Amino acid sequence: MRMFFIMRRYPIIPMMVIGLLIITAIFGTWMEPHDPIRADVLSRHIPPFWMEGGDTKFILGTDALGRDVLSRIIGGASVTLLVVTASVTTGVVVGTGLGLVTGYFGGLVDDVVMRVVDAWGILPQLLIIIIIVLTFGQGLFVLIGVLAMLSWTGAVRLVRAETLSLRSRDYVLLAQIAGASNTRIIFRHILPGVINMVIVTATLGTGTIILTEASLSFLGAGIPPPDPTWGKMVGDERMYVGAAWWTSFFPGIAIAMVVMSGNFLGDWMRDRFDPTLRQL
Amino acid sequence: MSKLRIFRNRNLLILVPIISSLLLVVLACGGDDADTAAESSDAAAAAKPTATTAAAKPAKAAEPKAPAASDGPSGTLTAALKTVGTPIGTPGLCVPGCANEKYFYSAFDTILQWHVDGKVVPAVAESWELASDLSSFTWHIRPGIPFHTGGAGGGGKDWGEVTAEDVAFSFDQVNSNTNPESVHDVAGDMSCCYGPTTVIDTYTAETEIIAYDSRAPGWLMTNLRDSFGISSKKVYDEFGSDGMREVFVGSGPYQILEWTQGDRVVLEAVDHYRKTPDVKTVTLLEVPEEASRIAMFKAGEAHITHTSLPNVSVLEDAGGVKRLLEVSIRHIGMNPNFLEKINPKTGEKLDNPGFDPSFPWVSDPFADGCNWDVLLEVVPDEADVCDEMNNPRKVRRAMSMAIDRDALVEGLLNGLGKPGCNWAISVDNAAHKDEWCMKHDPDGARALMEEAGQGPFTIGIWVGNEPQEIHQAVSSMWEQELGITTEYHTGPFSVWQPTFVDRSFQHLVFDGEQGGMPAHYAKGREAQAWFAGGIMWSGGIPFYQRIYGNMLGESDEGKRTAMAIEFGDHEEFWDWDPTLWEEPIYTVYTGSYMDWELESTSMHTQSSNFIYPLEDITLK
Amino acid sequence: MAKVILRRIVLGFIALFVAMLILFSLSRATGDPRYIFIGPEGIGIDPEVWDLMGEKLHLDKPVPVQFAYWVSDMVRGDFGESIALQRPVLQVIKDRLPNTLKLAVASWILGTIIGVPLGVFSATNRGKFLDYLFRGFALLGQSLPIFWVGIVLIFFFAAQLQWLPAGTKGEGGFISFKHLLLPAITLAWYPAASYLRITRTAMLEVLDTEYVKLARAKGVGMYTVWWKHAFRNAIIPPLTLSVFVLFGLVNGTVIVETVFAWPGIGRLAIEALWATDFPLLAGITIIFGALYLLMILMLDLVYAFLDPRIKYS
Repeated sequence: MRMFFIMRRYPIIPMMVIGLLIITAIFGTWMEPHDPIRADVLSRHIPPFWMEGGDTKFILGTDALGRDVLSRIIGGASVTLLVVTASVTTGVVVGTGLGLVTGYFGGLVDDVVMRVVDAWGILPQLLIIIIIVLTFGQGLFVLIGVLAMLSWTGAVRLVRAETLSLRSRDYVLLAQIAGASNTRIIFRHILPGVINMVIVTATLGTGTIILTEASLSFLGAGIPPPDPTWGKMVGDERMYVGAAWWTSFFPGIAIAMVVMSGNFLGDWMRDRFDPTLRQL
Repeated sequence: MSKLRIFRNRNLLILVPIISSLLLVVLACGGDDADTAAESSDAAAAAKPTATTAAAKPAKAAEPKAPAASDGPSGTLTAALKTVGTPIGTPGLCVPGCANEKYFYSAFDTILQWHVDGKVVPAVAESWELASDLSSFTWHIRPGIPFHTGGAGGGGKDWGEVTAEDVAFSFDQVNSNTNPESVHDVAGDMSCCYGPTTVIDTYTAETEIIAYDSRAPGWLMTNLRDSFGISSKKVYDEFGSDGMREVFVGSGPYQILEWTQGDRVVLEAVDHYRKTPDVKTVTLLEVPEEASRIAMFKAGEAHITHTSLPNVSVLEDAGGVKRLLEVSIRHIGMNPNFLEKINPKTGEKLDNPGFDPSFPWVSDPFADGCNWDVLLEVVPDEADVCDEMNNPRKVRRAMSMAIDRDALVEGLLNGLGKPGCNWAISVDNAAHKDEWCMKHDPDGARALMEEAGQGPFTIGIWVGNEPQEIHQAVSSMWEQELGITTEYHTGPFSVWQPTFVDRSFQHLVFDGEQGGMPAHYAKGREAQAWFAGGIMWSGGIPFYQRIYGNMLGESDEGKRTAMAIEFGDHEEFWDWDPTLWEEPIYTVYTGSYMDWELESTSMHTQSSNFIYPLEDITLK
Repeated sequence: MAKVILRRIVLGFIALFVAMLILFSLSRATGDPRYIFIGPEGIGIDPEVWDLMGEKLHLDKPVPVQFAYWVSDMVRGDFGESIALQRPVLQVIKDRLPNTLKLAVASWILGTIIGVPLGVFSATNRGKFLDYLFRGFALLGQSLPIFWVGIVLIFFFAAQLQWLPAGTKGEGGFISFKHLLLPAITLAWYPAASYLRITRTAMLEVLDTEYVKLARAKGVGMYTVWWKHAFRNAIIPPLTLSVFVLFGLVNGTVIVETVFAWPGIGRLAIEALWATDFPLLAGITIIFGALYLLMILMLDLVYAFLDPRIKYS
């Protein structure tokens, strides 16, 4: 009973999952029982080891090209982590920067940026992403850039609102009177007030980013083969869901667990940092 | 007391979603479903959700129908296809691919037909002549073929019968010589060789031949590959090009009642000179997801469908009978980095701005000390071939040797195909030579690479958005045996090779060819492209250019076959396009519901439809 | 009041204009836009047709002028012609839009009637088992990839149990519930989850306020408190969410329509992608953007009606 209450204070399981993801992403190459990329057509669609026809050599079975599903899930972890971290960071950094600048300086810059943010906001995200992929082709950097765009508007709006409110605080006015440069004020006084919220939003946004990447890969617009990403694994194997369900099932579970953990963690962080932020 | 009220209120809340969900389920299961073939299931389905289970099963769907044939067409049929295409009215507006739909849906008739025995047989034309001086085709049109009256848009009206006027209209619409705006798939094919079609009398039309094409009339005038159906000139006069997008008046055994792009096509049988169909109503559903098609087939919602080869056995387990349509020969285009410098037809110089011989697999005939003419021989003396051409040749050969074709067939095709040797001539063809077949020899491959002085390198493959299994399997073999790493380029093809503007393509492309074509047919991309200056994987190869042109103009079948065999030998030496396998293309139908004896068939592969000819289907 | 609405409308149009600018820039981003306009085969384009295309796109004129042509065409209703389908873009979209709307509206309704009541229920039974159950349901809904859910549902209910059809829209006139159910469930799960969570949070907050505590201290019945006071205030956040939900549905329909072979705009967009049909894709995007703008405006009006306390910033 006691354990229960302790566990309720910290989101143990989500933290473990995220921790597992990070470890797998970094050390995956040593953890993989088989090569996730090398195809071996003669070992195609072997069932998981507890099913008839299964083999303990391939714990979760093999996919259409004879590649071990578990190894590919592990391999996919690093891609997922890389893509998610890079895009969230980029989006949030860009968004925060813009939010700080427009919130602090206001004026024409503010108007222009906000109009662009509005415009971006009304465009259907997935479609814009698809158009960008159509124009620029597929690849890791395009994907990261495109996913970063999912998070930047949210960050801009949030940071701008906070900056606007913080800007009129006493300590900022004092600093201005004291002759501090704008840059110094922004970084030393406003940014710290904003940063908690930014981190929470970023964490909550990872779920969306992972799901969007999975959707893109599912549609075939994500990273080109043969690198495994979980979304691509589900997408490529979806015509075999009847005959070889394990190839789509397990990557889907992986996606769900990571997203769930991200959401949990974000919620918890938000509750911890500032319970009054509980809007969405 | 208050506790009771709370209790009641709480239930109120939770009841909302529960009740509405139940309501939805009841609505869903009680709904009328015209898709399942069993008409009697409706009454049963309206009662309770569980009734749907029984109604959907194939057993119910195979309920006895009214006695067939003698009473005219009856019964319904549903097919699940990857795409139903776009309704296009005028023949000239038929974008690539639409041609297949229009006559695969048995709604439009071609001037002649390709019989399952491989012969050209009469269709709209009951006979035809090729002028002795090869200057024209004369078509004698069968009198009394009615145009559809009940079709969509133009329904209810009598459009008369097929006359020479309609034939001339249809031909001229497609031919880019007579209709420069034609975007039909064979517009350019016709432009090389055919002039206007003139009306001689009500049932006689004559098509001028500008240049003799040895594949005609089978090639363009039948449903063998892409062709065009005969449309009604009267409909065009009344509705115009745009209007014909909604008015479908053909003369085939089925008329189109509805064609909703992205959704479905509904066909209804009419009396026909060839054969009046047995099945009255055929519904074609667009279901792009293969898993959904399989589910629909299993559930009896679709009686005909097509899947990738490995899933054919899944369909067979669910009561499916497979029907062979065609064999597709998969091969790798390894030299699309064009070499051809001169348009073989006109002699004008061609620009290859993108030709890049720095790739290890690209032979460079323009280097110092290299002799262009060796490319024009059937099989040159290796001593005459300079290193810049010979070493890349060895690289290509090594790559071909490193592929274990038996494993590919076993693993990716469930053993349903066989290794292939030449993309133009199938292994089952009498003209095929065993020497053309490459043996799996990884050690030999490595030795050959060493001989060529080539270490591991990176190669690009364009995969588009099709399933990429074969690409990954092959490149995995290359990596394991030869250390070659692969970059995959996805996305639309046009992004990688836009047009004639930049005629070089620096990645490999995996392509498929029709395997069942006679050896004496000039294979490869249509004459259109060739006459415009050569293109496509094999099109940029000088020897093939000449063969192709010569075969087109040669009227003797034996000589054409000999030319094709020459190319086989040439290809065996140079390995421009290593062949991987020959895979069967199947369509699968529910054996307990229908029979499908072929009276005629088209040999078009890579079609998204796989449901031709509909008039030969009989319900059980 | 009217001034504020007017300002909103003007801002909306500016946003739409900027959106079009963004799209236009994308089409010109990689150099010659004709490369995007070529069909998937890309072979055999005559130099004449190439030049004709250049004229149609006004490529000889400076880029801003090209943009002006493009915008003025769109304003007049000419969204260009779909390359793959050879028909006017607007007409193609018009034909298939109703299908998407039916699916989206059905999913939205489903999501709302499941999410909101369960959210209230969760709030009023905070900490109990059912609360955790529903929150778990919500968590799953926001974590499972939509395409995966769709595939699994098809596998179970269509292929294995054969209770429901595996795809397409079905024949039934206006709507076929049988065919709508699985796609709607797939699409509605995420919104239902969002609604559930936000309603729960909003209810909890309101139930915690001084005002409610006072009412209860005065002896006002639970029922009255819940419905007359708490819910009316707690409904605002879910209402705001509705716009986001509808927006999210747009993204969701792209995938759900693909998986279930539903003939709507979402699937059309994917087909346009693989056919490099830029005019069609751009047209769909603009239409969705305009629709979304409309919804935001309507939401502002509803706000004003519901709660005069809400100020416009």
